[in-house]
Amino acid sequence: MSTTMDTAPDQAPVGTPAIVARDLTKRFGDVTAVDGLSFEVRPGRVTGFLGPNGAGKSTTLRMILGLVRPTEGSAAVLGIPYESLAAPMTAVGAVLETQSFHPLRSGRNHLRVLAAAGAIDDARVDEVLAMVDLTDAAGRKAGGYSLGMRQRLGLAAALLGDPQVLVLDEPANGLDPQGIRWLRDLLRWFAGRGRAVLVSSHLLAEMDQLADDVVVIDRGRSVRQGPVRELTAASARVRVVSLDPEGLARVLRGAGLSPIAEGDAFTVAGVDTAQVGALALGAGVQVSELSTTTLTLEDVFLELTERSSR
Amino acid sequence: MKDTIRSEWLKVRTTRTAKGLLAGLLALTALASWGTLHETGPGAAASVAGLPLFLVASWGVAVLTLVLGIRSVTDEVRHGSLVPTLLATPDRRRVVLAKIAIVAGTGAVFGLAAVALGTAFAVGWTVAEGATLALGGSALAILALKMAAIGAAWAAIGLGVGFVIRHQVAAIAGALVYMFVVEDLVAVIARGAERFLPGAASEGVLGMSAGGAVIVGPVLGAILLTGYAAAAIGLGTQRFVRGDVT
Repeated sequence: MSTTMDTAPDQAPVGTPAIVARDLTKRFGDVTAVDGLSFEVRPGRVTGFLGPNGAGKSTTLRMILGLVRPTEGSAAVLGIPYESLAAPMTAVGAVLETQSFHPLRSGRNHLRVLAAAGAIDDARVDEVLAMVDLTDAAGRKAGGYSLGMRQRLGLAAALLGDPQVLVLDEPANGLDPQGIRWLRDLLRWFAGRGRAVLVSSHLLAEMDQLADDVVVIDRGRSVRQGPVRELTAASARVRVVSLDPEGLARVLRGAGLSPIAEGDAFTVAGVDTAQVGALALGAGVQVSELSTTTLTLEDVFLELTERSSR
Repeated sequence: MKDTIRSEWLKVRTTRTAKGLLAGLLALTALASWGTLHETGPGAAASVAGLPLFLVASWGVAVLTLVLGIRSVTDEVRHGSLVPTLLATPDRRRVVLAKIAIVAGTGAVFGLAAVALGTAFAVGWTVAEGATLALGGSALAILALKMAAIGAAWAAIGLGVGFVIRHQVAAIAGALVYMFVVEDLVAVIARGAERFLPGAASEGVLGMSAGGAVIVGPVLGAILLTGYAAAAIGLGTQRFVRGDVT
């Protein structure tokens, strides 16, 4: 990929996070949409930005991109506030809304308008149209595009400047299963080149497959951050079945654990199978099944957000 | 800055908004030309530039360039393209300056187009009727300059209005109510004060008014109109630069 620019791209020192949010707070009147939120997005990783509707995800993304002024705190992209980037389109590509184009302008002309603003050669417009498979529809008015085509046009606009960072707000909305797979491959390819992706989504199964790291927020506050694998592993449970459930429950409680009955089984957090097996054996309680249940990102997300709302 | 201006120019070229408004202006000018020439003929005008058809044409220029200016902002808000515009150019003052350059320039072209069509009608009518009417080259050049200035100023006022009132229907409806109702009401309530308002100032620049209404001179008219455009842009910029794009 190549672009023609007359502005020097913004270069961050090696090791600089792609995005840093520090104590971001946004109040709209009496409503606090985002409350002291801090997180980092690292290069070469896809970071999922998760939260229930109204959690403050879109407001946070807009603060990072200079569209909404933080009440307190700050955000930087490649170490620089977005408004101060010399060549923003080569630093960040973003898709925030399904429709962000004049419906009577063709897809190609929409991209030409943005390319002109970023001093990007028109040849790059055809490149990104091909990348998102919109070449054949490029001359049509964008208002006649399907939802999936609109999403792909937005992605084409985000990719125009061959950016270091992608920021996407619910990019899978409107995409069919093939489109979602295509998007996943595109984002993995992008991150595989050492670039960073921050993507908000409510498709948790999809994020489970796509994201390396997650930032989970609720009511504008961070409730958990970290690599997806660590998050799901930390939430793993031991599932144990015994012919003497009362005896087993007594033994587990006696060890300071909190077994949860699920039918004829118990699930126990904070221990591994070997520890549970040893406890049962020591107490002479026969165990007929012992396994580890790894939670999905969806399970973890629901648990975190339910806990947060209590 | 030149990249932002080029982008704004592409926006104007790649939709039908400006072309449609220009077509509307030319139709209005043609109608005004035919109507006034048919009714009054060249009359006492010393040259083409003095024909009353240009007063009606100037109203058309004012209204349609005002709408052009408003739509250059509100179209972007309505269709969501303001977000990619600001992602590409986060410096909002630069966006405002580029829009001023393109919208005012386009407004000036509207003014010139109205003069060209009005003149063509007047010359054609004069020849067809066997009447005599001097072309008056310098007077015509001054008229063209005035109409271009009127178009540029009203487009800039519209731009400022669009930045202040971003809801398209509200902005255009409010602007039209002002143009067609408020200034006339002021004339009734506080007679004489209306000549300092934008619509009358525009007539002052042109040096013509309907029914012999009192107007300011061209220089004061130009100062007033420029002042209104600067005030609208100033207010709009302040709101746009400080506001959130949600």
